[in-house]
Amino acid sequence: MAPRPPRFATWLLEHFVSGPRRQSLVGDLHEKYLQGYSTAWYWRQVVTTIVVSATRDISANRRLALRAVAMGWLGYAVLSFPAHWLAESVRLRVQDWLVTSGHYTFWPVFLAGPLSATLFACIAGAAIGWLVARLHPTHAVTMVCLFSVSVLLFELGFTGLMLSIQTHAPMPQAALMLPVVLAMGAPVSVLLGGLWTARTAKDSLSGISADS
Amino acid sequence: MSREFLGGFELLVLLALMRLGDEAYGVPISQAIEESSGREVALGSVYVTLDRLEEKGFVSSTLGEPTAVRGGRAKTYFRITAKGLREVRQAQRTLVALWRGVPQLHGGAA
Repeated sequence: MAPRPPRFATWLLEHFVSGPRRQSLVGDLHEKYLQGYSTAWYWRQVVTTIVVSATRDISANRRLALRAVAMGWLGYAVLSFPAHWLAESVRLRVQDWLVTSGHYTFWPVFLAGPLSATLFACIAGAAIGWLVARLHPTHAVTMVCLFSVSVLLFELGFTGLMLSIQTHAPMPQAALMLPVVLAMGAPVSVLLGGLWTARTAKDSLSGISADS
Repeated sequence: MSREFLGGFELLVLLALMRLGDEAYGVPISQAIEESSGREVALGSVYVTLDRLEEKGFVSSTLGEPTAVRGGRAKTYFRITAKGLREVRQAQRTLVALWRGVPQLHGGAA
């Protein structure tokens, strides 16, 4: 049986690369892979192709890219207030319950805050991803990716700053890693919300039309 | 009106197209460039360049039939246009003229 290229890499290629020749490009990579190129080569080609394709889309549509990032951040700022309020409400209720039920130990109490905050940040992120994709139907995937990267950079920068200025008592290593991992929740949700919208409206995306 | 010069990679792609003739699609184009340059070429970069060259009118494309060896996906064949050929000749003249005036490139002493 002929070897198959890594499925997830192909999925990424089919979902993140724009342009009218995407299917031919995937076919070319498939053909070269069958000629004996390695899985690492395939992944390298996929990542490079996604970056090159997104860069080209952004540089060809700079105003649209600027608008997508600005609108995304506006929506993110607006939704952050209700998301924060809901997260705090959940955290307080969970901590009350932990105290009254006798489960008041480090990890549940420590996780209640970040997990509820991340949950609502993810919901808000998915909603904003949906919004950015809906408002930029011709280049939805690229614009959602761009906004998601800006959120990722912000979240990681903010988390790093908070960790560096907070003077906690010594904490377990895992507890320090947790905020970094959770910081990726919002950008990933932006991506998923946006991609889902872009896929369901695939036929209307002029920049992502398939060969046919 | 000012004209844009062909980029280095654009020129490589056009030359590969001319060498390959009717059999020019992504795989042989990238292989031709890799063999000449000795460097790995990203197929994505080849396609982005071909898109740009087609927008400029230097290249035309046609869609082939899907084949099983490509996971059921069709090839896109590319061909250089008359305009593209003129542009390559112009680039050749420019490069050769500049080459002649560079003493460091004569005699292979560099």
